[in-house]
Amino acid sequence: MRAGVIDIGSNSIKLTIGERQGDDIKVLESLKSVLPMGKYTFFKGSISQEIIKQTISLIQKYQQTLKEYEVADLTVIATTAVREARNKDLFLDVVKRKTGLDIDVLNVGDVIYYIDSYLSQKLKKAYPILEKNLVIAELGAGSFDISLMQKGYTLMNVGFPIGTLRLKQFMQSLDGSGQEILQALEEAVDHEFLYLKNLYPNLNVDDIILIDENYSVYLQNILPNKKRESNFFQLKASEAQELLEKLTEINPDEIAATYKIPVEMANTIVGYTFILNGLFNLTKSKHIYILETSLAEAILASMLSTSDVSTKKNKMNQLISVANFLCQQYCLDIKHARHVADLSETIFTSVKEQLGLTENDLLYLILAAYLHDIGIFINNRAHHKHSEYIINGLNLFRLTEEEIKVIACIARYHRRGAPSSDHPLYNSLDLQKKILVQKLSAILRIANAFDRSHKQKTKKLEVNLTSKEEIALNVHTTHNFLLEKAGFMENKNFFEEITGHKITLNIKQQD
Amino acid sequence: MPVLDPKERYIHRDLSWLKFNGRVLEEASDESNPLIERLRFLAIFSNNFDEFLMVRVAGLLRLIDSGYSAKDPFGYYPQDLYIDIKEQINVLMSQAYTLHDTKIKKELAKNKIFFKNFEELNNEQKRHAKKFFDSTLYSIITPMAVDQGHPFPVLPSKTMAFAVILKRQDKTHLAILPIPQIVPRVLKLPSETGEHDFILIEEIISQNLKNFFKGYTVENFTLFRVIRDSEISISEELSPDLLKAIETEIRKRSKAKVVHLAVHKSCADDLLPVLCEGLSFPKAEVVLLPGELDLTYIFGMISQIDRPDLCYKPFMPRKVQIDNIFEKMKEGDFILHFPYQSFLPTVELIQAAAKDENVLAIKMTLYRTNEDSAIIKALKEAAKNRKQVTVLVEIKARFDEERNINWVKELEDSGCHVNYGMPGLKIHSKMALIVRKEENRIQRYVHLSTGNYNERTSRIYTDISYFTANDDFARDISDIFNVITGYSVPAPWKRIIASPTDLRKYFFDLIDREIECQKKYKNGYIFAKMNALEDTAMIEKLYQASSEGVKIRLLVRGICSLVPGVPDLSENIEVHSIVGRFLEHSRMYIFNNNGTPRVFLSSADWMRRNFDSRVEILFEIYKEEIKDHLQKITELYWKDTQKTRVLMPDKDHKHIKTPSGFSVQEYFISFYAA
Repeated sequence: MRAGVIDIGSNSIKLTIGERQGDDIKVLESLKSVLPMGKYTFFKGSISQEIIKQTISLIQKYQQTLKEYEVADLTVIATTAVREARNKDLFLDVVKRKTGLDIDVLNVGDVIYYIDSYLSQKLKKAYPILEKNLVIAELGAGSFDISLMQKGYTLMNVGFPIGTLRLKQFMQSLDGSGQEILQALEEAVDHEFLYLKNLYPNLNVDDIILIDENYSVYLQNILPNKKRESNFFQLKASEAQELLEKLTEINPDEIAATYKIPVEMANTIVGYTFILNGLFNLTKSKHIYILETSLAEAILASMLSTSDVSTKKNKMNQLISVANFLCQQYCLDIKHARHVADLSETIFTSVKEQLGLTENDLLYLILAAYLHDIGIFINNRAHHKHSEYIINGLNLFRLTEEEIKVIACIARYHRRGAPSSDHPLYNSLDLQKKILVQKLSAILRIANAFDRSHKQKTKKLEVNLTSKEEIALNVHTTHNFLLEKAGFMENKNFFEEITGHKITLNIKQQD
Repeated sequence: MPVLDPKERYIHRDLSWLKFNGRVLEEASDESNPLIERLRFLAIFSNNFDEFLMVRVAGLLRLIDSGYSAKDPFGYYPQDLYIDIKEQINVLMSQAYTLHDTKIKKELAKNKIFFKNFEELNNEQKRHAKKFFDSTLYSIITPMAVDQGHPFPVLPSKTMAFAVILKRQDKTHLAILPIPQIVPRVLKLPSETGEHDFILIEEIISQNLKNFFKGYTVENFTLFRVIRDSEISISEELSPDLLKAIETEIRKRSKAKVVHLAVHKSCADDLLPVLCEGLSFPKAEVVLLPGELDLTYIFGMISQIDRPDLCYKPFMPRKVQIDNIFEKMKEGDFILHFPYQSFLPTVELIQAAAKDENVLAIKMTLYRTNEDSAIIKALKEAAKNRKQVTVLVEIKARFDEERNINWVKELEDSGCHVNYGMPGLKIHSKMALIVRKEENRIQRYVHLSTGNYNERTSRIYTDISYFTANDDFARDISDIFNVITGYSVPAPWKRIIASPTDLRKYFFDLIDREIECQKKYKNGYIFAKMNALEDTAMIEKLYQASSEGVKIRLLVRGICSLVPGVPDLSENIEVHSIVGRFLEHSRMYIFNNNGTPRVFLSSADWMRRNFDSRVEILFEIYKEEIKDHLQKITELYWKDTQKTRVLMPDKDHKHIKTPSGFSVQEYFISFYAA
């Protein structure tokens, strides 16, 4: 079984072809062509016609190579430069028409997802990734993506606009002496790290793993005593400092000549070095691990993997982990959040067929259930509205912008006014998504009502479909359930109107 | 290190080349060689000269014409170099004609092989010659008048022609009678006595000149031969379609400047100025020759002499028995040494790949190949069998362009992806990659060689082929194809080193390591076998190593611009050259590496163009068995006392032949046959 990945990056297009070899992936072909797409997106906002043409021509060449290896399974991905381009849709459409290929535009969460799952596969012997608290970082031409991992679970992921190509462009846009420009570059990088540091002042990290497919091979040229035993090795803080000292002393031409580094890399390696040092400052680690691999290889691994990524690390669990972390960040009542999520899941599972819902939709409901009160962080008053924009501004693991909107809307409609075309975010959804938001928010309202006191009084919830039109909810509780019942009554109509099902509540008091 | 004038420090590459051709001529005069082989050397010598004139002398003349006057890296101004070259050419030409007209003709006569003038023919032979004239020559030769309405005809390079002064009604006219190059130059005559009698067609034509000019009297005539500037110089960056550009360039060729005009010394005084004017050639530069204007006629003649007793003892290249080439390659890397071992396994590899249903793709470079190449047939078959075939052709292989364009078109028509490489870079490396599906996994096979994929030359060129199924090689070779075809930027190689990016630097590092070993352990040693050594930076590096005490043995067949054995410069360097039955073509490089030798094979010589403007590869041999074998080969080469010439500090080669000397080429024939 062979698979291929075409990676449309911000500075290059790559084709990787590989096949399984025992537990490992054997890379058969690894082609790279420089195509500075990001130069256009980051500077001018959109991809030029010329670059589109060149992209198509390269993909067509790659299709030839794919034939040479009889590769049937192909994934085409694009990252920051395409994601951020104004004419993204046009680009995707033209490429599809000319090559027949669909491009999967990845966001930060997707990138990190592939990298994380690849890491746990690849490093299983070399490093106990599932037992550590980690910062996993991937430096691309467009973006520098960071993910916090706690014993195999993602806590958060965030992309910073300090990819190497961007830093190079930034440097070129500055008007100053060489030293001043370097200082500005350092400050720009520090500024991004500062944001992270302020966000997570008590960052508890065992190690940093940096995914680097470009620069690390040249480290030896600059640090003659540096040994790279394998493609996974340590870099000491002192070595990063030495790199910085050596590389900031001379200009890129001299870097290329002195250290035998290709000119295009010499132009961006200083930015890379600032980022290395930024990582050290972030966590006070004595060393970081560098793994020489690429996003394409990680995706290839996931395509060729016979067993799916472990259930522990599936998308739902990862997202719940992110949601938990966010609850902590925003000082939410985590017990309440979990309880509402559990109750929502129970109701959802029982009624999904009646309501025409799919298994996939559960994810949105659960996340909305976890995060529905997040707006309290701003103000308790109208907190559902605050929840909507906070969630909409989050970078949620492996979810598209559209999916995040759905979650934000579900959370918003957990209380008060029903969805309305006067609400811009809701109104921006297509009809099917609007209906989905209505159905899922109806479930969330009932689940939330059952924990109105935030005391988790519902010991057991049974959902019975007594007839085609009627749903009976049996709540087993040992507590006074009056407040919850009032909540139920307030939201009952909303549910019935949306679902067309009558809903009744039976409280079963237990001793 | 004493500062020396570059003229002293180096041997000019062109002058060194002339010396090499002199060594070829030596083989022609060496009486221990069989007579027909000596003739062959003489023909090769002559053909080499033509190429030299068309390329190097033409280039030099272009420089002079352009008014360029700066010293080249060897310390020569173009004008000075031209004078020295002319002088050497004259010496060599004179030696060649003396040899041809005296010794060789005498020995041919001893063996009843005769070259006859028309007058010497018997009646039957005369009739035969006349018949040949009437049936063949007369119909294909077209005389061209030269007058006010008819300019002097444009004659393609290497054309021989008659210039004829005609008279009619007291008026003289000039006509040019070119001899088409498609006609065989020699006619074998019938002979009852078992003799081999030959006559040159120019002799037949000269006897029958009047037949072309009825109504005119032939007043005077002479035979002449022109050589034109043939170096292709296309601005490749500007040419979107290289193939078209070369086709155009070939069409242009007949109009290129005449760089050499040879005329029979009997040429009448009134004809020479007319010729020179017509060809825009300075009279002072005309070469007057005593005999045949073009000794390459010998090729045509010896192919018609069936005298095995006058040839090298025939031998059959040893065919290594391989039942399944893919299985054999998977068992382990192996080499083949041509021409002692058969080239067939290389052909069979491509043929097997073409037929094998599990093969998905074949990629290979083709530089110079033979027209009826079985490899080309196999590639076409592979494309028909729906395999992905990528062929990287170098259509610029000198003088082969016309021939190349034909098979290139055939390959394209059959469905192969033909790629013309990178502008400004010749693809000189010889490599093939086969992608095969085995139990649904990919297994790749690589073939690398020091010589071209040419079945014909594999019988006369010494080369080494390397067969491997090691995937590190496959990755590198696949990458290098991707780079050349513009599919990818270069990746760090695992097993190969390639020019124009890394090769010189890599060799320098290896030499530096020997210098280091010499300083620490006193065992710095380098052995290098190549066709030519001309890169001055490399020569300086070797001088440096020599000065540090590193022992260096260079086996350089052709151009060698390094001067060995000069105190304080190159006293630790020895240079041998072997010119013999087989053309020494393999490139091998060995570095002692403190007693753990590193052994390399390569497509590259140590010439500037190999380092800077060609895609060449160097690869290291790791398998001990092959390493040992290659080292043994190099040691045997150094022991040769038959065909070895030693380059002396005075820049001349000394033939170190001993009566019962050891011939390495003969040794290899029997070694591999055993």
